[in-house]
Amino acid sequence: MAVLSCIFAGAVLFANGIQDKSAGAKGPATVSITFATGDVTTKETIHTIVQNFNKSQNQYKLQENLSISQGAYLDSLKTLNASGQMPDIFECRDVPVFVRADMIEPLPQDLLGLFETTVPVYGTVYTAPFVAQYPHVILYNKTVFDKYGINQTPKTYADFLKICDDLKSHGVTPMAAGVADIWHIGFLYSYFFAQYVTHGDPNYISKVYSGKAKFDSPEMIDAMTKLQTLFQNGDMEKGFMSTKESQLVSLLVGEKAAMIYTGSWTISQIMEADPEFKLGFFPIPDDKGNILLQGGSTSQGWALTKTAAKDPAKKAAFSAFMKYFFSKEQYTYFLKTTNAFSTTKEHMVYETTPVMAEILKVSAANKKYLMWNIGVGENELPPSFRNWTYKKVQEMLMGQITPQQLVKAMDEEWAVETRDFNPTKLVKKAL
Amino acid sequence: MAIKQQSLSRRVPVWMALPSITLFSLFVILPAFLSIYFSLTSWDGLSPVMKFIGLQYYIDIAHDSRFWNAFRNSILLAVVLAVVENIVALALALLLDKVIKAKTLFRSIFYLPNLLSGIVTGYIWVALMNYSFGIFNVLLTHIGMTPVDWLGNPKIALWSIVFVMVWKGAGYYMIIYIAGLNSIPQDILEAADIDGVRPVRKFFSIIVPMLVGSFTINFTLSLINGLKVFDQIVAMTSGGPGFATETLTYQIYTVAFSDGRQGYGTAVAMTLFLLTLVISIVETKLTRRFEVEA
Repeated sequence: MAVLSCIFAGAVLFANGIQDKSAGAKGPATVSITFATGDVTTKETIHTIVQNFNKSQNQYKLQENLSISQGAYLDSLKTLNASGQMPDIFECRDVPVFVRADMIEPLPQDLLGLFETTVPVYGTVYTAPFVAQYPHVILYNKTVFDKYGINQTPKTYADFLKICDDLKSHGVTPMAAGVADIWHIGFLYSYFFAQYVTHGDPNYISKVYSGKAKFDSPEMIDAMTKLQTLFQNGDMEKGFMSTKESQLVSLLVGEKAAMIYTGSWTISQIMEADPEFKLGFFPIPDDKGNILLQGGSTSQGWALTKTAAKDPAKKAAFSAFMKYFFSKEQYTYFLKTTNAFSTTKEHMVYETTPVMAEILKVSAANKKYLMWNIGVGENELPPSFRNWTYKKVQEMLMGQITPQQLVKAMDEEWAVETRDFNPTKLVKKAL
Repeated sequence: MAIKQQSLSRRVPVWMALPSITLFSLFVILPAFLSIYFSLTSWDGLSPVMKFIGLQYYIDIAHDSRFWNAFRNSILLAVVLAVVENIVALALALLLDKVIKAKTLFRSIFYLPNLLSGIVTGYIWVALMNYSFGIFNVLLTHIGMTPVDWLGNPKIALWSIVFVMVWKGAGYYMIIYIAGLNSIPQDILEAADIDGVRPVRKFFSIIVPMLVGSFTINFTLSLINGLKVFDQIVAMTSGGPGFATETLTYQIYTVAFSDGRQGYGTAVAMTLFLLTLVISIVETKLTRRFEVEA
């Protein structure tokens, strides 16, 4: 036993010795970095910029952690943190959660100046935002539209439904949606919620907290009825409930659906799948023809952990990487390849596809809304509420519950969840 | 001297077991006890603040319709799996018992799915069951039938998961049944044949009672595996559509890790632990009654 113990202790000491030796050796400071990987294009683009940064200088070396899918991003970060492997720099999506855990460092003053708008959390800016919210639009197959004589984009919501009816009358499935990924339901849910309930009010959730608004309202029932009808009257591809977001491009390009409702990042994937594809787009207008597009700044972005910030080399590496990432050359490459919306003060000029150029124009000309779950401070949703709602919405889309039952259940769930989670108190405590 | 040596030889096994006991205590016993404490707090899983709230979450669980839905799904899945997996496994074992040629090859083929991880099998079957591109629906369409939304229809999704789990697990239980069949004394079976006992009577009056030991092990294992099922749910349905395939294990994961309600998730986990314990004890006591010494 004693011999075994000695061997074990020796092995541990030997391993530590090797680790210490590498840490103490002179060379570039190694800094770990991770980000959520949604679509392949964004993942590859960020990977390329990280590699470019490593090649561009020899003071710091960014080491990418394993890819983490965006569906399990927060869970994976918690696991990494619990096992002492939290990356030094990471794409921080649930900023308030990390701020409350006192895990991230405020963004240095010299970096704050890079951005057009930053969103403080409990009064402090913690992240370097690298994308503004993507607008969600209908991307459609122009060839199919032309074939059936649909040559005008809708001016009202009724026009949009008319297009769906025209396509159905020709045996074409009008739309596909990746409802199997609950976060993808959020796109259409957020649209109807913003267009018909909040009308783009970014402080609507705080009104629900204060009791000035509730989900069980005629506007909300109307919005959810519109959403349910879209799925129940044959406008959606029949297998929508098991369709994943990653299948949408195949369904559109493979002519299994004429339209998809998604973000502008999908354009790159469509063009990659079929460079000859004739792509069109339009935002969904409301009953009166008003257009409200998702967009604007969020608190999400690159963050440095507090633990890493204690090491001057890692802190300097973070600043250096941020300046590199948001430099004209790298950031325009990022925006161009991912069809993202810029966050920087400096105007980025780059060539893009005609469709993306149009989306940029339409986005600039119309009123914006933030996704309902993106608010911070007094507009932060209780932690389970988003996912719980989306699952209930799934039930509504299948006709298991009515819009009336959905909104009633939302108010009941809200009452339970806000018993543990009150952002008003949290804001005061943090300040 | 002899007494001293005897005492030393008694102590040696204890010392030999110490590393295992230490590791087991550190990574299993201690976290289990810590979990009891976490379930009494409103911890979010990340923050250093842990507010003690006593038994509040256990009271909430009693009134939580999501918990009871997951509970119902877990029990349904466990019972159906235990029954179907055992029937399929026993049928395969009996069939292979009769096979003379390539016995080992067939055993390997039936056992093979069990070697794949739950996540991998889940993703394979998701592709096969895909509504638009999956092979099943392609075949159905070819023969003029309407495609089925295997994983998107709330009435079918849970049964699709059961099917995949049986496909994956039956081979494992089959091996245990084969071992049980091999341990039945041949002279008893031969005596039954000489006495002209019909095959059905022989099966129910001789083989089944002699296999109760294997049946107890298999039934307990498949029941517990059914209660613990997680990876197939994650890979195939994420608990959906809606909450249609959400089990207690999946609820624990989403609530504790994705939703940041570690305290509540741990309270659900403790409830599942108690549930599994009670079911295992009852099931073992019931099946032991029927065991027969070979």
